[in-house]
Amino acid sequence: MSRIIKEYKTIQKQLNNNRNNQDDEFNNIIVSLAPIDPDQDLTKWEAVIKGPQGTPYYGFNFILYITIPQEYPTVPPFFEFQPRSMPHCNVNYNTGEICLDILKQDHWTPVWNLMSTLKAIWLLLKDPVPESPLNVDLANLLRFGDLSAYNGLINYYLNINVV
Amino acid sequence: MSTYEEEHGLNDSDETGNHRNTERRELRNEFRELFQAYGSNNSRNGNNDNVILLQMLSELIPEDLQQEWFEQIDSKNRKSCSKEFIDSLPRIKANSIKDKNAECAICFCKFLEDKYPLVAELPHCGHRFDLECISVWLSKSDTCPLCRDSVLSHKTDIDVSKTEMEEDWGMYG
Repeated sequence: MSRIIKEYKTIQKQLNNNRNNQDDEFNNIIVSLAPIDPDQDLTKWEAVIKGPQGTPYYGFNFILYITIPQEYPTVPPFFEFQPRSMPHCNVNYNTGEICLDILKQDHWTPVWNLMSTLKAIWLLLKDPVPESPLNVDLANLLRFGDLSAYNGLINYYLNINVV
Repeated sequence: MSTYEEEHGLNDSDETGNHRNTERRELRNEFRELFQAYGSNNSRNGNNDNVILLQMLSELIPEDLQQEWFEQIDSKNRKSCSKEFIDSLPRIKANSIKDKNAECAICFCKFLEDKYPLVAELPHCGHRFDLECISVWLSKSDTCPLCRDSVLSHKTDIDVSKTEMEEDWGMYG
């Protein structure tokens, strides 16, 4: 647990100091990353990331829920998108479950931290992997190269949530 | 003389009960072997018979039991380092750590923050970690957290060179 306290301090410092620094690598990625109840519980976190430029997600922000297991960092943290918010071929739209190798025990190493894992998820938004889909419809459109239908479907889902 | 069981008419029921229990256990083991054999190979072979068999099995077997058996497969496949190997890792003395800010990549603590740090170095890749941190990790894995170098793969090399030297000494001695 002491490791997550250290990370929390680093994250606060890094996010606060670089709020206005355009060159900072995390400035274009992370809007916020903090425990939901910092005084009581450091195992439940919430993050907001920006949609990457050059993707249909650009201009939207996305909420992720993070659970830190007791054995962290020996075992990976548990990341999921807010249910029914992320139309992406490696995300289960209804549950928010994410398919990414480093989030599984076999590929995780304790050198990863919450910031770098969040960046990996952000990169997954830029580079979807249709070979291991959790959203078969989007993966099929991508596999057959129907980009206008692919972008259209994503836009449709993204705009459902904007009221 | 009659035994207690005979007097009370219990003689048969107990034996058949035992027998039934062993039968049950054997059946359960057979199911588990089938399930694990086909459960782990199924995705690679893509054999249709296996898929149907697995489907039938998964309908018969309760879900929590299936999960337990799958976890057994996982723990068998996962490689880890022995306690002896972890204990044999070379220790680094505090005064040979040149970089003041060098930290353990697992706990993010600076080595020199501790007055008497226990630091271990991995063979070949030479990455350093707190002994306590790397022990926990290597008891579940066989790779370096930083570079994924397979730490056990170099161990045999070291052993061979040692034995060769000993043989040479024997010849001249």
